[in-house]
Parts: sequence; structure tokens; C-alpha cells
Amino acid sequence: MQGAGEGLRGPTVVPQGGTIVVGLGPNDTTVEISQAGGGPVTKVKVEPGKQASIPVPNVPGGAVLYVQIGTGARARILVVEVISTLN
Amino acid sequence: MTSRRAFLVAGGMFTAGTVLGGACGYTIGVAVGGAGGGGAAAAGAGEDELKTGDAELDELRRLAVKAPIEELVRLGVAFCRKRDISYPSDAILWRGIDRLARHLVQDPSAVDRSLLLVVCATIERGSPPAELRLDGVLPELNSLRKATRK
Repeated sequence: MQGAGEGLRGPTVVPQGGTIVVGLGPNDTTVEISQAGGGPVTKVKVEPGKQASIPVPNVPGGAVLYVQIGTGARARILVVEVISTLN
Repeated sequence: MTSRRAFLVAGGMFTAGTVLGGACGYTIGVAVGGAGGGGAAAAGAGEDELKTGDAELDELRRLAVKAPIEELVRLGVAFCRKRDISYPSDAILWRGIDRLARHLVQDPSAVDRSLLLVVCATIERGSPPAELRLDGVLPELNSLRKATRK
């Protein structure tokens, strides 16, 4: 199991309804997004070696998302906090 | 009293003490283990209790209960994610969340914000076992979350 975020580029905070832009490695073909604390996992196919723009799922402000890039031993995890757009 | 008789009396008392003490110790151990539920059982979990036949779950349980806190912290985000997705109802894995939460509160200077966020969310949304009393730690974790906001 690898520690979180090692070798992973991306934001740590995103607004509701925004996008998460992450840098991909040459072998990264999938990004998985899920909400911390439980819930479904959304898999997004991406093009390796480039940046991927992934829409923020419909979650409340304050929600915490796992963005996992790659699978298995090579997987890296980015933790992203969703902030409310309402003030 | 002859020395032979004194020896026999002392030996008898030693044997009675050993039997009585062992029985009381066993009874207390069973009572404490039963009252604590999953969390307390996990705290004293032996190797056999951690084994499930599922290698991935066994490794997560080792991390939760036996691994040094430094290792659990280092792998904490991945641990929490795997627990959420694959083993949300495993009582022993909650011991790992409990250890992480209390470590974050006890040593705020070394807080990793990503780990703090996922531990907060796991406790808030994951229905932790009542006996761990993680609801009591949550306000402190949320204060830390606010204090470390960038």
C-alpha cells in the first residue's frame, strides 16, 4: 500500500460544481473518485501522460473526496476538500 | 510444627492460590473482552483473531491494530479509503480509525491535513461503533480542521 499523494499533482481544495485537474503519469489510464466516509466509486477513463479534468461530483460543501490515479501497487491518492459556493 | 508438615501446608497454599488466581484472571478476562464488543476485542486481538483468509483484509487489520502508529499514519489515507470502499463494516478496522483520530488530537503539531480530512469524514459518515466513543473526539478534530485550513 502506498502513502497518499506520492508523485501526484492536483488541487487540495475545489469548489462545488468545479473540476479537478490532475497530472497523469505515462501509464495512468483511470482515475477513481469517491467520497470519504463511504459511497460509490466513480471510474473515469483518461489519456495517459497528460492532464485530466474531472468534474466534481454532486456532494455538499465540506465533503472530502479521494481521487485515486492508477490501480494496484502504483495507485496514488489525492485528497480534495470540496468547498461550498454559497456564502 | 515439623518442617515436613510446614512444607506440605505451604505447598498446598501455593497450589490453591495458583488455581484460584488463574480462574479469577480467566473470568475477568472473559468479562472484559465480552463487554467491550468489537473495539475491545480488537484491542486485545491475537494473531488468530486478525486472520480472515482475505490477505488484503488481514493486512488492513494488522495496520489497524498491531502496526506502529508511524506506519499507520504514513499509510493512513490509503487505509481509510480501502476501509470505506471494501470493508466498511469490519469492526477491527475501526480500531485503526480510532488510533489515527486520537493520535491527531494528541499531536496536533504533526497533523497531515489530508489524513485529518479523511479521518473526520470517516467518523462523520461511517457510523463508527459506539463503544469507541469517536463522537467525543470529533469536535477536537473539526477544530483542528478549521485551524489548518489554508
